[in-house]
Amino acid sequence: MTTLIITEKPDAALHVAEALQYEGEPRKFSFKGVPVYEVKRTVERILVCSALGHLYKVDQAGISQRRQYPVWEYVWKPIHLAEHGRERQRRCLNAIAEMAKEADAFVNACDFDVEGSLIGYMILKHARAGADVTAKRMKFSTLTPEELRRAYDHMLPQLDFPLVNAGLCRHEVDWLYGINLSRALTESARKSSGGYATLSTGRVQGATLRFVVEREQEIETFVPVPRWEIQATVDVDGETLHAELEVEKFDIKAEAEKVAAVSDGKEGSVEDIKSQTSHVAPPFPFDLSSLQAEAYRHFRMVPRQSLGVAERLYLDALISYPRTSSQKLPPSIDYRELLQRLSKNPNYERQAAALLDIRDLHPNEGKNADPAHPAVYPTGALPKRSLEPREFKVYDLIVKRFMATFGHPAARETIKATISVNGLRFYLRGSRITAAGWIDFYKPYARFEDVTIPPVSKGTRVKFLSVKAVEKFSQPSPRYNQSSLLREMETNEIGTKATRAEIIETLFRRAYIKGNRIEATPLGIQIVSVLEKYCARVLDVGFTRELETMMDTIELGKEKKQRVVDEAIRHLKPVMDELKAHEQEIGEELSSTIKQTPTTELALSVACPKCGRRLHVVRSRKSGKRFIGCIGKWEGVCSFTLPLPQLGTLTLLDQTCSKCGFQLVKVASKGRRPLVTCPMCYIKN
Amino acid sequence: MQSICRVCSDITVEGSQFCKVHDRAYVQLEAAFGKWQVAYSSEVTKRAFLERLLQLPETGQRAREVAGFLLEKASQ
Repeated sequence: MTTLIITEKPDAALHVAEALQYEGEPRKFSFKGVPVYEVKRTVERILVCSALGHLYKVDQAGISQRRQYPVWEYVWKPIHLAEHGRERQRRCLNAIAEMAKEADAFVNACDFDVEGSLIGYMILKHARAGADVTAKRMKFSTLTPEELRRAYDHMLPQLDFPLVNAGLCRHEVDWLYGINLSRALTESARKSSGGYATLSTGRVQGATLRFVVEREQEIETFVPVPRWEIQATVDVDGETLHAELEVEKFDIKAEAEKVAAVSDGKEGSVEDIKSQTSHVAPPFPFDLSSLQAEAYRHFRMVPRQSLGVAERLYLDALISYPRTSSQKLPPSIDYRELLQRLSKNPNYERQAAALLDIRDLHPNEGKNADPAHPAVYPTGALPKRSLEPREFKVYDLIVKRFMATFGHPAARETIKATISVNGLRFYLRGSRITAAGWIDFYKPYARFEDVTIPPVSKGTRVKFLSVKAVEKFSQPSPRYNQSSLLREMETNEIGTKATRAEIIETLFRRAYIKGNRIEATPLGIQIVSVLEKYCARVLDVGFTRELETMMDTIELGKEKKQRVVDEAIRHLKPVMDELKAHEQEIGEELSSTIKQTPTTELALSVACPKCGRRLHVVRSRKSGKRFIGCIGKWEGVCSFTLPLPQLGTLTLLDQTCSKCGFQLVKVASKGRRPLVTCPMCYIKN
Repeated sequence: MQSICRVCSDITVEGSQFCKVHDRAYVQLEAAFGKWQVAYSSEVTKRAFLERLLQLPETGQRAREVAGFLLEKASQ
């Protein structure tokens, strides 16, 4: 009997094969240019083969007319037929179809989520008739041998169709919105200006861009208002300290000055001292959002980078599946055994040993649960290779967070001394950690600074050395950074944990937003302005969220996929009618901004291999030549550059090089076939 | 007939001499002037208010442009 197992990525295929091979190593061979692992058991032969992410995608039905819109007819196509340069994917599909002919049983072992379920389903459905119906599903959250064996021995009897349907629906709806709205914008601009620029928007992209544009306009139109704060310096037993007035700020200058006048240079006394000890609970285990937020806070790693690194660690079987919204650890894992494994790593030996001394190990869990996966946790396996600096940082953060959740609450003592002077009350505040508890396990990521005040008692005399009314001004809301924008999307329930970081990257790539403190560019502002004018509903967060909720109910098996797709089309049709009717006005409004948008604002989605900063397409002011350059150049810290073809229209593709992983570019010239190339490999060759 | 913004030459919003963004800045500016007068006990003139806004880093770019326009208009 032959069983064919499909995994999502090549590394996962190796882990699955190794886990299922009881003795020795699985045999690796190349079948039609695709690596396959053969596992031999007593009566069963298992072939483990990997997909390369999605091998099918939604595309226009019939002959694709790239400039035509609206488009309502679509089909699922093999990705190599829908996009150029997908030779590996073609080979992979052909190999799987060939192997499927000989197979007696099929298993989807892709990641257990909407995307993984969809990838496996589409491949099996088209590999052999009926394979999707008889196929079983492996469900696992780590790539450790024990869990993979358990997942194989206790497979779900059939594919997880609610997840598959949710995936089908999300891809179809997003394709319909993306293709129609983007083509409407691109074509309107092209017809008006005669030039070509790819403009895109989509169901979630538009609403996200609107957050940034609204914040931008709030900052640009901000008018500050004055207020006054009292800054007081006091002398307590020869020690100079800052005291706070009980009123934080004054809106009227005269009132603040009056307070300063009656207390400056005077002597007061301590009238009350309050000491309080509070407990600071350990943090929750990481879900993806909190992991991304912490990675940004401590390492300035943008969400897409931290997700990429976490996925790499997952594929190395070092951590559990990172695309999770759960704040709960799986009750099935043996915490003590896991900590014992971690204690073998010299970096965590001391902390793990301290936790092993605790009799009852109970993690402090949050209330969010995810039916597919638990919170992110380390598997305890030792890294088999030397981790890159970024990988080590994220791994260290995950391990320490995991350990911290088992720690005792920290105890913090706060002291507040109230000083009375001429009928006014000032406070002296101090705080210190009296029992570190979980903080010890989460160092250096947990920081509490002790603020000490000298010992005082009721009646202690306090001299007010200086009391000033200081003029301050109200501040505009801060700009978003990638982490806070992702949080805004999450709060508004738009996008999914898997797609949010990618959507932000797309906004950068399209030059709609720029900078670490994110600014909306004139093009981004213009896109929102046009969409607000002609199809405000597309930008409406409430509408986007409504669709998300409907898609979530498919995942729960409570809603039919086709009904949601039909509903989405019903909303989109009048929008497209409106856009088509105003094509000329939209084009005129967009084209002047497009012309002013320099190519220097095109940002690549891959980070600089030298320093990890953002890469841009830059045009030299001196020579006029375009090239890829690192933004670190402007900070004087990195000089990484790559040459680019000089002639033709340059487009950054959403694909990466199969050899080196760098982002591919396409150059189109009139009368020639478009050239798809990797700038990194080009220079090496 | 459509009129154009006194600051940026974009199309004005109905009933205003400014475009959408500059009009928003103008409304904010007028509201803030009232607060400034209360804060400084009516000791601040409109001119001093506008001049101060131009010096403050917190003032938004569009608000700055409107303040500049109003100052120029007042001196004519």
